[in-house]
Amino acid sequence: MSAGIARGRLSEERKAWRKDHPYGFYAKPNSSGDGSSNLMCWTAGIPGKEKTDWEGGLYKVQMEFSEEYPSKPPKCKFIPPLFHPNVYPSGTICLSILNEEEDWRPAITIKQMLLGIQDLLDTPNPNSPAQSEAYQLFVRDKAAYKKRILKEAQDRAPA
Amino acid sequence: MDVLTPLIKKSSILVIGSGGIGCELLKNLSGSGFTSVEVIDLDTIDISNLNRQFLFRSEHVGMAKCEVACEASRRISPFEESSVEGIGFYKPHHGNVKDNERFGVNFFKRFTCVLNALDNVSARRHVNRLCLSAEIPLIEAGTTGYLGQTTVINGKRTECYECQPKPTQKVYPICTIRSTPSMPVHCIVWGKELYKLMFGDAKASMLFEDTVNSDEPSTFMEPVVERRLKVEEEVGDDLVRFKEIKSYAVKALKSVYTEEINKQLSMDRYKGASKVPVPLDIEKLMEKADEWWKDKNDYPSVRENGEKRIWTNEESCHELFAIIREMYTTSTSPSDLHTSTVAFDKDNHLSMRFVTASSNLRAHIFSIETSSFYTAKGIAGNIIPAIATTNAIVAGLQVLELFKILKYGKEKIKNVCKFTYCLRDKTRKGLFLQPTTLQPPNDKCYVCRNARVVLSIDTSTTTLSKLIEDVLTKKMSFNSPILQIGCDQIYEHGEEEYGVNLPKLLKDLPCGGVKDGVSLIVEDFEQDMEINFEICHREFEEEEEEQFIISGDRPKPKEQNSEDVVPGDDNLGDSSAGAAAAANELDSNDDIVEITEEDNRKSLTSPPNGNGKKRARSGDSNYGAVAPKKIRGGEGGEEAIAID
Repeated sequence: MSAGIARGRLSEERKAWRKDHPYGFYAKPNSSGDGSSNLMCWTAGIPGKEKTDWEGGLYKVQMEFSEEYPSKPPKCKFIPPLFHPNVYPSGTICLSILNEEEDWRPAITIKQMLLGIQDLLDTPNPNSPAQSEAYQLFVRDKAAYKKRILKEAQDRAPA
Repeated sequence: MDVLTPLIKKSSILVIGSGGIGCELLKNLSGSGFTSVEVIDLDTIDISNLNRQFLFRSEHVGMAKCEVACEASRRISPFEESSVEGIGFYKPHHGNVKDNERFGVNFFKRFTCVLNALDNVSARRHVNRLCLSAEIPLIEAGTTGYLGQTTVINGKRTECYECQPKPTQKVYPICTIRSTPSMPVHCIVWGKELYKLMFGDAKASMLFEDTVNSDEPSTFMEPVVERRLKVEEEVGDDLVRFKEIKSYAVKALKSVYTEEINKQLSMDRYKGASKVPVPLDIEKLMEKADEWWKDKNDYPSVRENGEKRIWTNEESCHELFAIIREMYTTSTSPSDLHTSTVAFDKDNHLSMRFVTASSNLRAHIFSIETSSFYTAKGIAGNIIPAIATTNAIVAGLQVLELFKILKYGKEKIKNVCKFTYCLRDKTRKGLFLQPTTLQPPNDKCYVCRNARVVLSIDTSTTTLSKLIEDVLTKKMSFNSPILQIGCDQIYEHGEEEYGVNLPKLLKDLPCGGVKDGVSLIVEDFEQDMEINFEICHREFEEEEEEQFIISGDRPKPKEQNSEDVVPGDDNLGDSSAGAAAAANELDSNDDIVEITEEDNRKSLTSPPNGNGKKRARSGDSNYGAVAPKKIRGGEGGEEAIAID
């Protein structure tokens, strides 16, 4: 039954996304390679905001929903893992609205999650570092950090 | 009226369709002072529309119906502009109402009320779903000959258009008949009109072209009508007579099967069509006419199986030649040739032979399946003309219902609005209009109540594309379906990645396949529809009309057949049971069941007695677990469809 609730909600989310979604983003259930796709696992693309170092890149995020969704948030990770202070080496994103024990609420939509992740790109939270490489550079050498981000944006520019 | 005037001024109306009912409706609306009205219609004006779609004149032929109708409405209106901001003053939208880019839910939400003036079930269903989603009242109307009805659908508080099963469409738009046939029945209607043009009252034929009052030259009026022959004298020269008849036959047939087709082709009528018509070479097909002449008692339909098998084009020409000859021979010619009494009658053998042969030649031109005499006869019985007066009555009723909605508010629709039948014979109280109370939604309705639906289908021979086309699109009127099994999506309209699944058999689809017991979820975001199908594997006989059954409950395995035929009887009452029996008798040779006007009249002369029993209230047999044709007779009035 819970899977039914998750499915129903995801179906609603898909409907809402198709009707209206922010410019440059995409989000859809993953293809399973056999002509089907699974509603419980989505792939999304988040564009870097204009006038930030992230501009030009399109960052791919995978969203895995559990049967407890929307009571519990989906697990969101960058694929491949992203150079960013709040992204774990696995790619998993550390963001309060995606954390069940922090600011997650069942009413948060996929659109809000993706916009939240987009915001996070240029406003990393130094209080919850998730990978040392990006964190260290961000804290110690802003210029080198910036350079690295520009390269990241370039590498992940859509073809 | 003083109460209404300001309410009319504040309201915005969407009219869908500007044909037979639409013209009447627009005239009523503009005359009543409505100014904020928009109209959707995809059709262009055909010469055959002019007799009853009175907003159109001969100079408008070929123009978009909605544009001409809006222009005329603006002229009728005592006002100059729309009184509601954001809504046009009789603003036309030339396009298909199913085009979601243009006419989605948000487009609908701008209006106070939607008025349907449509000619087909599929578009009506689509509009029904959009109005349910947008929560806007819908005033629906339809006519079939002398019969018609008007009703009001209010969100989820009254019966929606799809709460009761609907039989398939019975009457066909005229431009389809004249220019763009796509089904055997379109050709048969045409054949019937050609019969009238050749032997009956030519002016009354749908194909008649006025060569006196119109500058447009006609390819076939002269050879078919003006050169009509005289009945053979007592003693005539056989050779002269042969030449005369052959010459008439060749010229007449050539004009309709070659020259008229070439004319339509030259007008680019078929630009973008998937199949372009190919004119026939009549002279070649008629080469053996002198042989045919020799033995007047030998022609294709009298030969072995002549009425059961499909004739070749040459045989069809032979039939037509033989019929023309018979018509102009003293012994067989009707005394009232070329008058309105010579009209098509499916039980008149000669006229039925003519229709079979002439429609098959036309079907051949348009790459449409050809029919045997028997099949054609079955199809031909199902044809009902559109009557302008009936259109005017139902459109008038629509506006009266609209007044009630404006005056009492949409919350009161259930109490104040009526489902009104327009009858052919008066009731015992002497009434021709029979209003009945609006029914609450049917709990088993899969559209407004999201009820469970059981789909019985052969999962080991049916492909996904067949399921989508026959069941979801044609039968259930989905526009852009999305299919899911549990949390896995296996198809989405317009998404290429699922294309690999289309040729697969249902059982072989990914994620376990669509098999017996599987729950298949079908959604349409644009229509805001979701149906949960419970799949029931079942094998069908090849000759069964539909290779699937949709029902409210899982059918019992063994007794399926007997269950399917009659379970509706208790709900439908005697008259429809009789009609069902009549329909059964005719089943053998056609796939469109014959429901004559008599059937409709019978069931409607004793209209519902207030408790709505006649309107087949919910039973286990909803959604066509009963093959829909079995209940058609009983549903005749309800399922009236305008010819345009």
